[in-house]
Amino acid sequence: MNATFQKKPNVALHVALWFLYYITLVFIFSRGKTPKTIDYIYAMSFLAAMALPIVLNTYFLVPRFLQKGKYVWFSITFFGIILLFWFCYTHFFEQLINAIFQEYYFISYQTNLQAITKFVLLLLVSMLLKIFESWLYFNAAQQKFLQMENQRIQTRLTQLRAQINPHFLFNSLNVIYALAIEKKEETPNAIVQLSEVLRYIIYEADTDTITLKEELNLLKNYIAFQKFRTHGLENISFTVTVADEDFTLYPMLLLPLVENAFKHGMQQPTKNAFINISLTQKDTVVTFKITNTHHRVATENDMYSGVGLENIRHNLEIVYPKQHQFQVESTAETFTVFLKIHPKQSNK
Amino acid sequence: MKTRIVILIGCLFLLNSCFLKSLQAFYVEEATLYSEDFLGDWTDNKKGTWKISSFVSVYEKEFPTFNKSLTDEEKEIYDRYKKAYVIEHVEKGNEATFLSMLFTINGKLFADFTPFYPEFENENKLLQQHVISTHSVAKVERLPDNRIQFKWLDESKIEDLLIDEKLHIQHEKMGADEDIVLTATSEELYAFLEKFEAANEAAIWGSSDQITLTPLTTKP
Repeated sequence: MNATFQKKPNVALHVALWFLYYITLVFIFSRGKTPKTIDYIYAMSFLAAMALPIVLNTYFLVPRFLQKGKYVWFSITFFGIILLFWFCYTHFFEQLINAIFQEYYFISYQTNLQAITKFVLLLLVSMLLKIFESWLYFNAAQQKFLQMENQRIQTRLTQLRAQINPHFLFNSLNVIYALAIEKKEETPNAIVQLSEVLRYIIYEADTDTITLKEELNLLKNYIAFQKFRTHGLENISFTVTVADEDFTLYPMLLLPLVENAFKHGMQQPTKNAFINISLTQKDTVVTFKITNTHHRVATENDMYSGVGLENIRHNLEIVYPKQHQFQVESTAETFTVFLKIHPKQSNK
Repeated sequence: MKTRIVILIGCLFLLNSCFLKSLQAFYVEEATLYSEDFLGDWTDNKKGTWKISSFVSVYEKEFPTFNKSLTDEEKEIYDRYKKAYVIEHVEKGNEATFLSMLFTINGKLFADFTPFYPEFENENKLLQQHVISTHSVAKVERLPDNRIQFKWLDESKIEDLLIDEKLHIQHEKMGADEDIVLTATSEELYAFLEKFEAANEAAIWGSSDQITLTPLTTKP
């Protein structure tokens, strides 16, 4: 856990706990009868005698030795404290309270063995409470850490999405601009297609998961939109083999890949240019493969394509850690991206 | 004999009515002592007579061959009370026998008293089953002319301490008069007396119950 948390001692809780010890002792010493003044005094005196060794054990020995796994040291010091208390109690306690409270006669309260037994029990109870408190604190700290980590991931994802969207919008506006310049009839339809894609990006992409059905609609809209730009090019195939359309995925994983293929594959459309897209889903495995022709002409936009793929890679590492394969294969004429997602559990 | 027993019980009741009673002895073994100075015949300030004998002499008289024939239990009793005294007390013709043990607290002398009545052995068994001997304690002071004074521990003083919530000692209140009977152990009772002595509470001893013995004869 990288985060550090400053533990604030809960004074009220500790005071309440010591008060509980005191009340318990008062009722033990009054033997179930109504406690008397002398019972309150004796219980307070006995608790005061036990306080130092118990505090020493609870706040020093337990965190220093027990909670750090130094069991031998803890055992030695723990029994050392018991022996020290035994010695001090049997030699000094009675004399001390008789000297301090000279008007009181503390006669039939407890034998030495009963006193030591009470001390050991209180020592164990306070130790267990300390361990329990530490456990609660650790859990709370871990929960806080996980929340912070989750928040950090969400922030990172938002940042990645914020990098994807401007790319897409920029390219799409270029397409519409081109259609408008040429005064194509398809321009209104193209705008409708784009608006459908943008609706997805704006309203659906921020959700945690999206169904394959919705993802397919997005891709179909996008491909149809891109066809306005690359009219005449018929070598665009989109093969879908989905067993369960309600299977869910993290949104905005596939669109950037398709976008990338169109951007690079259609830069200089030729007769042989093509884009082959296939999406397969069976059980909990989703396979997506996209191959396009490309021409290695150095342009300023190549730089952006690298950013896009890198963003996808980061995104996958966050949302499907160790549950995906992402491969990019580039030859002299084709460019292939292969993505396989196999969540441990179905997102359904 | 029945009349004797009734008188004896009555006598014990009257004798103990103002004393603090305990189920356990007030002394611990380490603090006991034996002195022949107390043996002999005495008369008290209430015209009663006291015949004080050593427990050993009484026991030997009862069991002439005790060294040979005592059971383990009898030997244990003998060892436990070998420093004790047997007191035959007669007051206005009423007889009572007590077992007494002398012990010291910080150099001062005290006596523990408890009824001792071997004559009960052949009497009403049902009565025997109902009678429990209690202990009382008196401070012992030697006076001029070889006189001895017993000042019993006053129950009312202890009751005051209990009411003031300044004393915690195991006890019960018994009977219609709610007499206090201590049920603490001998060690606790001894610690209790020790604290009283340390607090120099002379007033609690014998303010209403004290007996002065004057020797009639003493052993040489």
